[in-house]
Amino acid sequence: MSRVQYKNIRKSFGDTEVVRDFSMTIEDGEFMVLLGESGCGKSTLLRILAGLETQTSGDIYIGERCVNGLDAKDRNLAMVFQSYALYPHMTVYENIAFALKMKKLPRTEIDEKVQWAAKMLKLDTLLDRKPKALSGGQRQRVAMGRAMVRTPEVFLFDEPLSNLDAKLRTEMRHEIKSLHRKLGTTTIYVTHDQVEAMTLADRIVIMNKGVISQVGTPEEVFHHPANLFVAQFIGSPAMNIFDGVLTRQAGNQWVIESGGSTLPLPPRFHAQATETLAVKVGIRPSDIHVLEGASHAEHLHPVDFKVEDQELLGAAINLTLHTGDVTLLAEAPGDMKFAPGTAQRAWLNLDALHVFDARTGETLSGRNTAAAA
Amino acid sequence: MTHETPKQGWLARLFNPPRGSAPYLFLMPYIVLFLVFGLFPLLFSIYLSFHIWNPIKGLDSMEYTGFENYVLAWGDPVLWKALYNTVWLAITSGLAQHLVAIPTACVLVALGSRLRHWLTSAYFLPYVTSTVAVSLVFFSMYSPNTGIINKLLIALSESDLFGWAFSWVPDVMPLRWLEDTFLVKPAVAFLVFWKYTGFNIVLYTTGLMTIPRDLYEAARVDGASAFRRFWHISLPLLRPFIFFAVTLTIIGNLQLFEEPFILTRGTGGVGHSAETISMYLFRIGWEYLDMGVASAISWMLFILIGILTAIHFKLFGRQGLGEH
Ligand SMILES: Nc1ncnc2c1ncn2[C@@H]1O[C@H](COP(=O)(O)OP(=O)(O)OP(=O)(O)O)[C@@H](O)[C@H]1O
Ligand SMILES: [Mg+2]
Repeated sequence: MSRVQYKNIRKSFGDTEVVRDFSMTIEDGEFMVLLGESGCGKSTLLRILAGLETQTSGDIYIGERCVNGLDAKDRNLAMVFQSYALYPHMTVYENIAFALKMKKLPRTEIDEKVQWAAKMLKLDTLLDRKPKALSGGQRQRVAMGRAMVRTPEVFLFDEPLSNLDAKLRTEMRHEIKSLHRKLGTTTIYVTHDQVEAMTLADRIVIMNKGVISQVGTPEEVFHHPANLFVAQFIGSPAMNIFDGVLTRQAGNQWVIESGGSTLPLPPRFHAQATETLAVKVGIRPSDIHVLEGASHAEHLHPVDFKVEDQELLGAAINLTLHTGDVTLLAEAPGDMKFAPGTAQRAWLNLDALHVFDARTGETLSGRNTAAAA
Repeated sequence: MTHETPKQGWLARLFNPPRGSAPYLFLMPYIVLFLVFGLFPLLFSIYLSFHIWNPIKGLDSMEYTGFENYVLAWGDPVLWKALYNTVWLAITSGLAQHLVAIPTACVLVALGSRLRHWLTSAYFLPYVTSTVAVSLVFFSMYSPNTGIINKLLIALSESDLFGWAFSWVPDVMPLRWLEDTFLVKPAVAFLVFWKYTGFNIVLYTTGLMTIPRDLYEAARVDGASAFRRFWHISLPLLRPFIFFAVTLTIIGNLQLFEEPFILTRGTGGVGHSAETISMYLFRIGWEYLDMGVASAISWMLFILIGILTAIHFKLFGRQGLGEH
């Protein structure tokens, strides 16, 4: 178990720079999730740490030791590959035992550990099979077992669940989480599935084109996105974003004008409001209420919309609302009825309003930038 | 007028062939060639092996003898000598080919694609070069007084750096590579090794390229050194290719002819020391003009190849063909 540090890592393949000045510390025992779109350099960062790829510049520390130039086989990390990379000519048992055999552990000790991992992963009846004769989920568990028996300094997972169906994915997610609780090993987990990221992570790193967009706990990145990219990336259905202009009205009142309507600027942005500014305004579908119940609350701001479309999802309805030139998605309870073309009043939760500088994409609220540092 | 269709002439029939025969007509050139030059000699040689026949005296001289040709060949000590030589050459050059080709292929794959393409082409060159031309070049290299090999040995024995290791050279000079009964087999084996190793390298390189990269990466992360990655990953996954290449080597080496034939100038070496079965049956057929015995021997060789290949399949086939 060890703390991991990336220090000013850069990586180029030929002329394309894939990772740009990446610095991050993963604390001892922490479960860190790397989240980002396909091709943003997540695997590359893992492979650099594992020693399978050499960084163009920068330093990697595992514990107190700088491991630049140290061969992958001497780094004592365990990695679950995106492709599983099971040895096709070995049985499940031999696959799991391989790393221990390389360490020249005594046979009885190897057997003990393999049986332990097999029991934990419910592979005990499959130990004599070859990977070819396993289902996708079973293969994935073998890959996990291969890592588990290792007692490595760090676990590296590269989208280990991407090939599984939804049910197995949920199951494995829980197993990974409980494994981490039990072993407490520093873990770096790559995914582009935000549900995995939110449920597993102690902290999430959101990457965008080789640079860090935001680092924070799942709550932080969800409730206080540091920039437009994170705001749009996290959350499903995605956050509504619309254009607005930050303007000062009579009486030193700051408002956001957008598509003919006017929204009061929530108090937490007041310190940043100094001049007229083009902004992007964000609000999650779940923060737009169509029920009249709490309509008198201070932070709920009523707007009159026209219903454009509705989509029943079961427990909820995805409602497309329109006003001026703004179209928003709102979540309504599944038992309500809407008719397209009718007028509908909805209340925006101003406490959950996000305001970003349209030019830089950064949030106007100062405290989020502090969280990202 | 009758209702019968008018009788077609042979020309009309030729240009208006029956339905469904078109594919066979297109295949006709090949079928004819195969029947004349493939199937007929094959069957004829079975027939021949039960007859005495001197081809010079014409077909009338053919005489049925039953199994006598086989008995005759079986009782000839030279056959057994030739058999020994053939197997010796097959094993020595064959083993060396594979033991060198597999690690070389591994190195080539590690070198990256550009260098690999150049080097595999270079290694493959001997295989596509005329055996006769190559054998003639080796013949002159093995020459006792003017050959480059002996010259090199002498130069080494006279050099300051390596002289100590080659002090034995002046005592044994000139080495008669192709006349010495002890040296001629290694000399032939080396030529065969040189000529066919490149083919195996290409085969093994192709085989190695089919092994997914991430297996090596996983093994590295699992703490396996380069040698252990070779031993535990490359070698087992290369098994189907090894099986295929060894099968080809068995079949090819047991029919070895041109290389020893040219290196020994058709004599088979002093005391048949480098005569292979193919050379032996060639001699019986065209020097002694005894086609019957020659055919019998060729069928015995065929059966031998069949048996050895069958043993190879039996021993390694299941694993070799990648069935787990
Ligand atoms: N060996 C390589 N040579 C050239 N370019 C590469 C190489 N490996 C990766 N890249 C490029 O680097 C970028 C990042 O790749 P990486 O595999 O790290 O992405 P990722 O974030 O893991 O994506 P995914 O979610 O699809 O796995 C990609 O644009 C990819 O094309
Ligand atoms: Mg990846």
